[in-house]
Amino acid sequence: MLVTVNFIITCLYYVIALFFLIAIIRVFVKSKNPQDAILYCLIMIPFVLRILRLK
Amino acid sequence: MTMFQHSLIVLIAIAVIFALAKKLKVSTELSMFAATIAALIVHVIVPMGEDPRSPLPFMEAIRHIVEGGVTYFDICLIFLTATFFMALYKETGGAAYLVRLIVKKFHAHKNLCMLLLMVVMLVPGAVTGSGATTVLTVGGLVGAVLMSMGVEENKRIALIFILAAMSAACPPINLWAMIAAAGSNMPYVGFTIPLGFLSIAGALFATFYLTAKAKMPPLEEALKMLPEAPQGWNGIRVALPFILMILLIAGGRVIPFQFPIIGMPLIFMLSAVLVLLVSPKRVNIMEVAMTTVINLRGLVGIMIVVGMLNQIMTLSGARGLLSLAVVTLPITVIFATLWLILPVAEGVLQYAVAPLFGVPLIMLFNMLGYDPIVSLSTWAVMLPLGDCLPPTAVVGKAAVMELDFKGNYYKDFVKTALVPMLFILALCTLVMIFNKQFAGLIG
Repeated sequence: MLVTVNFIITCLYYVIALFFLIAIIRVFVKSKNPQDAILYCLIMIPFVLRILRLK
Repeated sequence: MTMFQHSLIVLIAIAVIFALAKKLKVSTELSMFAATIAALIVHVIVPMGEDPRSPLPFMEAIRHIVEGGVTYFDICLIFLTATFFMALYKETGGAAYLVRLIVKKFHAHKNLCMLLLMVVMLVPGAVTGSGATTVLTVGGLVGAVLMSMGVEENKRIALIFILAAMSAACPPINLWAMIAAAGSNMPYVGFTIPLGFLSIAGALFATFYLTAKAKMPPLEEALKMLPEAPQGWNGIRVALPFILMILLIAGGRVIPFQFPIIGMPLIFMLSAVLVLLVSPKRVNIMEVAMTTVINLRGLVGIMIVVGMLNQIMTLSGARGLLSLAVVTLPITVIFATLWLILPVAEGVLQYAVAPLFGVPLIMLFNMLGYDPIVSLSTWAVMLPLGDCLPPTAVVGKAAVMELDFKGNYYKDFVKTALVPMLFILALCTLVMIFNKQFAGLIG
């Protein structure tokens, strides 16, 4: 039972990471300040790595 | 060239490039990132002592940067989800309803209200171990109540910050104490009383010191200062998301083996979903998420860059050099300077300061016959006070954002917070010096 629940929780964490990655990408696309754009790129790194299951 | 000289050059490179980038009006986060890249380049170029390691391949250098960026990912996720939850709560009008309710109920009892607000502020940090979570979940709410009770802006933000710092220090979860204890093979047992005493004493002093001169306006006037809540909200609807949040947090602690480990980010997201379900007002979820990202870019950005910097400092020996420099000081100098070193180091390194300074200090204190539990407790209460200091200033920045603070960060906010901060630091230093007597007192 707990194994299934833990699997669902893990999946939900991927959904959360994807949800915020989409929000970051949309903000990055709309960003006009180059410094902010670079910062959004840096912020994206851990989210992309998590979704790709590299980290 | 010795390893000492190598690490020293890396440290100098970090300081120089950071200062240079700041001079060129680059943001703090990107200045720190530039300093990290410079540190890596210097580490690769400058010879590494008499026992040279194998050269660092290009891909390995990239791996260190990327891996460092993931160090504080869980904390970033907590920041984002907690803020998203509270942003939804605000957008739907739940926060406005709750604040008006508190003001109506407790307007006539100022001291009781302040005491309750202090408890409300201490709880989120005590159970999550993060001061930023406190600010992002209840900071805005408590700030609004303080405003309606006549507490001026500088004192409001100073109080929110100090209560958030003390909430992070408050037991049962103190991350600095937990990390340092784990690093020195010491069980995290016996910390409740010393941590509780120090953090609650600090919170009480700050609350009553900063709100002592506040003049409460009449109830009608106070309510006029607050935003109107949309129709349809009631006491049950407004409480449900927080009840769910508390139940999910408590579940893991009360029945740990039957309850799944949900984690704070998912708890906040589930509470956010409940806000959407109970709210009488519909909102655009993606718009709220994008606003959350924009508001938190500095906070999340600095955490990611600090992780990278930590990784490179560890790789190059610069982190060890800093650690060694502190623990080789004479004990009287340590007693006299830790109140300054720890908050400043926290401002630079965040949670990394616990393994960096905490572990060698525990070894040193234990070796000298001092009580390691009481000593570590005092450091773990001093450390979060540095969360308003540059370059990271995580909790300070979160408080500025949540309270929409318009004043000068240092002249208005930090200066106002200085007296309660010094009180807490002095109290911790005293308990650290008389640690054996204090340990005897609490048994």
